[in-house]
Amino acid sequence: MRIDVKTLYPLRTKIPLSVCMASFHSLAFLIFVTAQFAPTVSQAAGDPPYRLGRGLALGNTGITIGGYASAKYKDPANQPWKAEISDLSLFVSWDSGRRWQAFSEMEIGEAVTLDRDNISTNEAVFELERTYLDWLGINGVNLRFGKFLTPVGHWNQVHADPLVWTISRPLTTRAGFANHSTGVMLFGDRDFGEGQLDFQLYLDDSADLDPKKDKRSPPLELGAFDNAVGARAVYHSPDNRWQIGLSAVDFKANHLADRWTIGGLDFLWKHRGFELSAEVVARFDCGNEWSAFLQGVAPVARHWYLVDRYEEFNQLGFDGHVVTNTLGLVFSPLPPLRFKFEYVNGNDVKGLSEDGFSASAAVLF
Amino acid sequence: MKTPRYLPVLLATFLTLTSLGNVGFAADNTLAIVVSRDTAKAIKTKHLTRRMLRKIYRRQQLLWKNGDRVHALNLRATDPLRAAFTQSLFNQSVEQMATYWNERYFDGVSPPHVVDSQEAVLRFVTRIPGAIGYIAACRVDDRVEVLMTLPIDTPQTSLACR
Repeated sequence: MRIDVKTLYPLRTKIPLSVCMASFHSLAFLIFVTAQFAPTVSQAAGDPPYRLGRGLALGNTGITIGGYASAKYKDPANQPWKAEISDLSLFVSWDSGRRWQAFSEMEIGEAVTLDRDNISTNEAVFELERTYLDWLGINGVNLRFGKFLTPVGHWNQVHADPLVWTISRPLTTRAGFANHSTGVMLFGDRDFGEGQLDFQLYLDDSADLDPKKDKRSPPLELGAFDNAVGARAVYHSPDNRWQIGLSAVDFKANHLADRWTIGGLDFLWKHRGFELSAEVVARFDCGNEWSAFLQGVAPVARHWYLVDRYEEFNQLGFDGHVVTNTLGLVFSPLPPLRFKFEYVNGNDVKGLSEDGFSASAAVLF
Repeated sequence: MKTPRYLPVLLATFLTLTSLGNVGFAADNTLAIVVSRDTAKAIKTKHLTRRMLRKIYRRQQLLWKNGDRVHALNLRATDPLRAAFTQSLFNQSVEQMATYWNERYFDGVSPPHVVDSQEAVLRFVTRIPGAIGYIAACRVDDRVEVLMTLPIDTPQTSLACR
């Protein structure tokens, strides 16, 4: 079954901004109350309570709050320009100091939008991106319960604007699978020769566990899994300069009539500011449906980087064959801060690629 | 040909002086990875491998064998000893490691605790069970047990020993 992109737009759930703000205020109040205790290990060590890009540690609660924000300006080909505070994301992490840890990410997407005619908060979308509880095992094998990012490829698990080099996201990293899973995951690492092997095995039951599942999915995602079983393994070289990952997931998605099995291969190499990465995602159970990109990053001056990406997308869940070139310039004066400028040029099919110029500022706070 | 009588004495003196020099040189180029004596007993670990230390300082290993929590300590980012440690263990600069910590932060994982000085490392590991830190080998005293030594290329510790 194929999906018309337009049918996905109305599926976004809009929650009034007042409700979002009430949630944030309640959370802030709870954090403030629980923070009124004796010093923690962090405080004993003399860690500063707040560091840019590392969050704010609160008393002896084991709670750290932080997040990221990004603002974007888009001037797409054949469409009017638009500016937006595109992501306002709040992280709350908790560490018991023993075997339990928890993490939650709440996000207001498109909090404020500005175009030629008006400024508005009407497109604001509140999303519970992730919420999970981890149990730490001694021998590098841990358990995760809750909602987490689906481990297919590298990009989806580090997709925040301040962590990636481009404003536009490759279709490969979002089109062929649900970006979130809800269920249980076994994860950890093992020594493998001189290198290290990270692994993730997961079972998803979003149909039962995530009642507000991806009805608010952005366009170009399949929507939530109904259920899924998947695995990912990543080998890290001994010098940690390169890694290669394999992913596989078998799933039923809520917009698909039949079950899908997809596989992924990804590669990442980093050295002295240079970076080369690639991801391929393909359907195992059906003919010629695949998507892949290759991206290179090179430092061109102090704090300045040139980025180029070539992507081919072939029918993976959406009709069409798209070829996209993305050329970008990134200024990163501090590790948690990135200013990006980019131009996307592709054979735009049904709005699958966002051709045109865009700029953004993104910060981890 | 007859060997001069004073030659053995000269040789012995030379060897003694050079070996003393070597000891000094080694201490100046070595970091000691330390835990408190109590922690060493509790975790039942007398020796760490480089791989284990990497996992600890990437916060991939959060528990000791006995289930106690690992509390890894770093010196300040501007401390030359921190730069030497990071380079020796990860073959990366402190700044390059920041990229790694950005990605871990996205998963709610914070980097190791930061302390101001080597004396603070000694005090912290003595006070907090499960804590581990690094100091110049010449600063090791009877409060701590050395689980591993780490050679460094640059003689940063010579400053740290004064």
